[in-house]
Amino acid sequence: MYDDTTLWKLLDGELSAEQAEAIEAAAAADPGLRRRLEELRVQKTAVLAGAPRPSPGFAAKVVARAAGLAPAPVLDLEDVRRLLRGALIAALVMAAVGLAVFALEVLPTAFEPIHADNPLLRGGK
Amino acid sequence: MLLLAMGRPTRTDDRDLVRRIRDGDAEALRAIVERYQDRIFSLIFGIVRDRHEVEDVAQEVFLKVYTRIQAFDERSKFYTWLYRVAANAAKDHVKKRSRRPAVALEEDDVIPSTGESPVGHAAAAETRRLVREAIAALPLRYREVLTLRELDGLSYNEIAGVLRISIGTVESRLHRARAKLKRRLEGHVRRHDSLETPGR
Repeated sequence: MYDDTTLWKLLDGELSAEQAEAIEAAAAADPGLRRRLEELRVQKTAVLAGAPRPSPGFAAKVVARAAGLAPAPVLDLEDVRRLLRGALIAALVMAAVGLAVFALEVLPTAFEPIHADNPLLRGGK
Repeated sequence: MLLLAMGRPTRTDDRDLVRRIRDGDAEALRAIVERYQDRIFSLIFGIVRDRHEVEDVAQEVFLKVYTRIQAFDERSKFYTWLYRVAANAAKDHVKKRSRRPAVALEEDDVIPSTGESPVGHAAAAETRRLVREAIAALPLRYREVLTLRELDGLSYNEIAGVLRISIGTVESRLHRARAKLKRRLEGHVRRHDSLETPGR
């Protein structure tokens, strides 16, 4: 009548009060359903069963170790924006310098014939 | 301790402690550790499944909280962020450690007694042992949702917030985890039955 997903939602407290009451009522009258719910409860409790407890001095140990550490600074959004803006400006300056060098050094000779004295290029033999 | 007895700490309490930790107040860190240590140990154990490794990972978690507190966004709940830090640390630990099998819990005395008869107690203890082994064999992503679900009674919505996944994904992972668990347990029971009735 009820599938496992519904029964799990009941145990997880994810069903409405009316749905939960309906299943509890059905389980009261149906030993098979009661047994299934019990099996699922065993599975639930087993997940965290056996977890160790912290030793009495655990908190003190953590605090002692933390004393030797400094909280790491974290960049906020404004810092990131400033960093990116700086990187962009630097990239634009580099590009401008590169273009200037290209214009001054490469362009004046770019259209000169290569090996102007080569007879083959002049059509001679 | 009083706060623990009263249930999940309120957001305002945590906020005040978080601000003090940001100012370098060690006593505030101690208060956070004492408030959450039981749950963090349980959460880590649920994922790591080795009692002997839990304390080291828990220490790393609280030290991360201290050193990375600036990364916590105060608009969200502190425990959600803390559980995320702990779940990630536990998963990283499992991935890093050598491929030795998880240590199954042997100390049954730590499991609360349900007032059963000795025979009933032995059967229940055996069932719990099988369940624990089956949980340890689940993939990490399933173990973490199962653990978070049982830790502190987190709702599907809160688990989604901790793991930064959708509620639908939480539901489907829980469903698959439990289905896998059921299949594994059925396999155990069949093997157990065939061992007990060798003539068949």
